[in-house]
Amino acid sequence: MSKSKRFKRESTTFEYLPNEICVEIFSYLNGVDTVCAFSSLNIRFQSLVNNYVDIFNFKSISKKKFDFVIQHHHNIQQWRSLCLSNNDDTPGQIKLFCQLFPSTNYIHQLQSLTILNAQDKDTEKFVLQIPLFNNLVSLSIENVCGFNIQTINLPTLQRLTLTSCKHTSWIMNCPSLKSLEYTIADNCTHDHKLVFPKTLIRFKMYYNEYSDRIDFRKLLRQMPNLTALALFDKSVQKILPDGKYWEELIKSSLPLLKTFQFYFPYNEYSAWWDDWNAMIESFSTPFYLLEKRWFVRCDRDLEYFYQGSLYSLPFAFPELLINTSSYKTSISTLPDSDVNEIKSNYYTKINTLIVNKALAEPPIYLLPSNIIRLTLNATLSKSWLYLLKELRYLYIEYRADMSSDDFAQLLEHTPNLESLVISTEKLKKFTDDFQRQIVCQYLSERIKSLTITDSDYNYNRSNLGHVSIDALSSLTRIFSSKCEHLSLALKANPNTARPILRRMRQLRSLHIQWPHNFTVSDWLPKQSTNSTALDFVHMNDKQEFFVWFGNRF
Amino acid sequence: MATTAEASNTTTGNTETATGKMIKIQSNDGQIFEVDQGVVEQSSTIKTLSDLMDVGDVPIPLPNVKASILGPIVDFCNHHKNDQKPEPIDEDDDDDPNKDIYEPKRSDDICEWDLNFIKQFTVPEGTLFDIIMAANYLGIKTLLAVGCKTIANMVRGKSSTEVREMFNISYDPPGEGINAPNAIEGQAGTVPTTQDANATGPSPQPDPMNQ
Repeated sequence: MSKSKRFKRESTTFEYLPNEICVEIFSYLNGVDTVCAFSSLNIRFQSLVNNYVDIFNFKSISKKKFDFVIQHHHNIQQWRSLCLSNNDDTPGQIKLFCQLFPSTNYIHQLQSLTILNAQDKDTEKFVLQIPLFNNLVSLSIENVCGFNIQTINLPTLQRLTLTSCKHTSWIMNCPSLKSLEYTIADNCTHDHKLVFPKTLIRFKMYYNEYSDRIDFRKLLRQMPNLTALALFDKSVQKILPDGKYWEELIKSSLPLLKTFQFYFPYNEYSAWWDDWNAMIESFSTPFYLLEKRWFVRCDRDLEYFYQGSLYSLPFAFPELLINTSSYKTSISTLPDSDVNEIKSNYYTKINTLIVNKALAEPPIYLLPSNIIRLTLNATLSKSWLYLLKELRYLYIEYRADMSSDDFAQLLEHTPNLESLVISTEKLKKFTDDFQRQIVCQYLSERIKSLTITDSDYNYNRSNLGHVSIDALSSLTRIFSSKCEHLSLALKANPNTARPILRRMRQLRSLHIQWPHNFTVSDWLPKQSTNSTALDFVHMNDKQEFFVWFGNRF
Repeated sequence: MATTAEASNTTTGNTETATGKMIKIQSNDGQIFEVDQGVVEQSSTIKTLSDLMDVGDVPIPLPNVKASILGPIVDFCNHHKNDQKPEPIDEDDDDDPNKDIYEPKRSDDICEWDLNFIKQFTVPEGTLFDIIMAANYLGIKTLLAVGCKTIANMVRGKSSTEVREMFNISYDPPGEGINAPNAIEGQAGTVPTTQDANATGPSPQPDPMNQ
């Protein structure tokens, strides 16, 4: 049927919609999508895009789209919210943005700014300009060193999400700050100075009590305005939580606290059965159950009763750690009438599983499952597979083990998988030396992002794994049809590796660690590194080589 | 000639039912629907008109909505009349109530019934836009949201060329709008578009998102 017949003259078309409805439709879209879809159509839509689109999130977008938006949105001065990312799928994006817009005058009116993966000098320079943003209300920075940005001063900032070292003194320069979500990262060697503003109303912290060696409880006693407190401890070496301690702290120092959420794992070898009972009792006082109505659940290892985890209900965090091999002795302080709730409402926030111990049966509360990230650092029983149909990101760590049959089954149950982080050794084993056809076919059809991690024998989370030329040939054979993002380390001569990498025809980004000094021209002799080049190429402080492809190889 | 829709569950007069007084509404092509207070409460327009006018047995005219659209709207409102009202934002909730104001609104949360409901309206027939415009005119926020989310989900990830094709969006006349020579100067980087190969404006450029 011809187009003219498909659209009868009397039928209503999109262009009949009044401007306010078009703007309402835009409000459901990232500005990147809106600009790509509606600019250049005609003067009406171009004007609507320029005047009413002000939320731009550049996370995980192709360079082609990035370039398109920069070229086609002519009112950058009115952007209200911006997210820039240096993640592996958008390498050097922040540096490129700064080159294109060297003056912060372009975006000084921002109310919300998110900087993902700020761990390089170029990004730190950008972060140091943030104080010029007089309207900034919300800031999110990932992987920054607090020492290096301690001069910044943000009088209007109300909400901060931060992943950084323990040097937090700069936060004291934010007198309006009300909400802080802080994840401690060991990403620098500076002396640490952990402090938090007394003005905070909401405070959420992810930490490792064992390795971070912090005493934040003393700091909590100086935050009398807190109404919401959430604590997620990632450690396993820890004593049994004590409800009496928290009761005393809250009664004496946090009089306004209405919400107390926590995840406290424990692993105390010297604990006895009575100690465990005492722990539960300490969270069962009238203060918790009657006055505050704060309920907890404890999942305890059946075999090793001294280890387990205690957490508040409803479960408040997206991440669940599986650190014990049995949960059959779980107990909660919920009233009997609410026990059924455990199966339905209390665990809906969980979307990330970190499996550190082999657990035969998944906890029943994980149904219905919304797991999209799985970090596997132990053997995964087959009974877990039916929970993984929404899984998109799979991280295989060095203690994970399975046969190619097991891996084939896992892939069979994960139709939405698109990202794989794995060492060469594991990948070779799971694919029978890259020969197991069904496994290779699944990987070929699904994986859009592949990261080769450090060797199992010399594991360092921050290093990429070295890939031989033979292995690289196998990888390109398997992953060339879908893979858009590739991260690995190479020892081979660029002249040998380059023609093999060219077979990865869908690549949008490439991240290579290189053991020796080399220049960009060794890799891409015809490429320019200026900001208007088709591909954006750069090296970071650690001599890592990144390409964000404007088109393809 | 006005006819009473079969969907109505009463006959004549100001009928009182278990859900309260029944109101009559009339589409622009004369069809009359009887709706209860549960439906009226969802439409700010009908509610205002019924409050302001002592309508008695006279149907409230809705001149911007035809029966083929008003009927399904009544079905939609009947289905949702017992929905729980959204809870007001609780400042004391564990999550920051303002944390999402700098993100696009969610469009992946249309319930299954609404998904099936909206499927009966299409772009080629124009009924998808009819239902959105009617929801806007009648002030039915939930239905307007379903319609806008549906459109947003259709265009997400698409290029302007694909959107133009999908919605049959018109070009600016040659030499006018974004094809005007001064528009290019004022909007450096804009890709001009035109249907006419003999246009006096700048030559059309390929859409880089569609290469």
